[in-house]
Amino acid sequence: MPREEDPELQLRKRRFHSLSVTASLPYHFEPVMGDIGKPIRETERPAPVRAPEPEPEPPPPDREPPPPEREPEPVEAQRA
Amino acid sequence: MSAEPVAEPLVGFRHWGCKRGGLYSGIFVAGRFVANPALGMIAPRVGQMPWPTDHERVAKCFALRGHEAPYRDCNCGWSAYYSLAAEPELLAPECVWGAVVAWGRIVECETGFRAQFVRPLALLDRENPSDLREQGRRAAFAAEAYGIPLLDRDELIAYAHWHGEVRMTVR
Repeated sequence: MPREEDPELQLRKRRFHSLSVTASLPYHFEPVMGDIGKPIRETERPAPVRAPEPEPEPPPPDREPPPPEREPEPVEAQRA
Repeated sequence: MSAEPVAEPLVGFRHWGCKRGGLYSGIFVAGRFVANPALGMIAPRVGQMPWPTDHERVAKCFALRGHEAPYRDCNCGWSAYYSLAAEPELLAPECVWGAVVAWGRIVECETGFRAQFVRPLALLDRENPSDLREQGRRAAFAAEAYGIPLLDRDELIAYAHWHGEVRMTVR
C-alpha cells in the first residue's frame, strides 16, 4: 500500500504547480470586459499591415562638389 | 460554425486600467479598478503585467477543458466594443478608453467581439476629473509609452477607420 504523502508537502506541490502553470498567465488573462451580446458569426481576418519604418537619411556623399559650370564664351571671342 | 474569411482586420473600442503608463486588463468595481481579479485569486503572488508595448496580445483560454481562444461558447479572447459612446464612461480614476485592431479568429457578437490577436491603436484624449493622482494625464503617459496617438473622439474614430473595418452600432 503506498504511503500517504505529508499534507504539507502536498500543499507545497500544489502551490508550486499553480505558480508554474500561471507563469505565463499575465499575458493572456482577460476578465470579461462587459456585455457584448450573443455571438453572431465567426470570422478569420488578416493581420494589419504596419506602416513601413522610415528609412534613415543617406549620409552625405564624400565626393567633391561638382565644379561650377563655365560661363559660355561670348560670341565675339568665338568668331576671333 | 466555421470561420468566414474576411479581407480586413476589425477595429473596436475598449477600456483599460492605466497605471504608470501601462495598460492593464481588469474590472471596475464601485469606482475602483481591479486588475485581473481571477489571476489574483489563482496566483496571488504573480505580479500583474501590462499589455505589451511592442507586440500584439494572443488570446488563450484557461478553462478547465481548454480550447482555442476565442471560443464561441466561452468568454475567452480579447474583447472590445464595435463603437464608442459619445461620452464614454470613466469608471475609475485609472480608466482610459482607446481603439484596438483585432485579427486572427474573431467571434463577432451583437455589440462587440472577442478576438485572437489585438493591438492598441490609439487612446482617447478625455480628461478624467476623478484622477487626482496623475491629474488626468494617464492616457497621455500611456500613449507615449505605447507609441500611439492620443486623439479626441472624432479623430479616434477616423483613425480607427483607417486601420480596419469599423462596425458602428448605437450604444
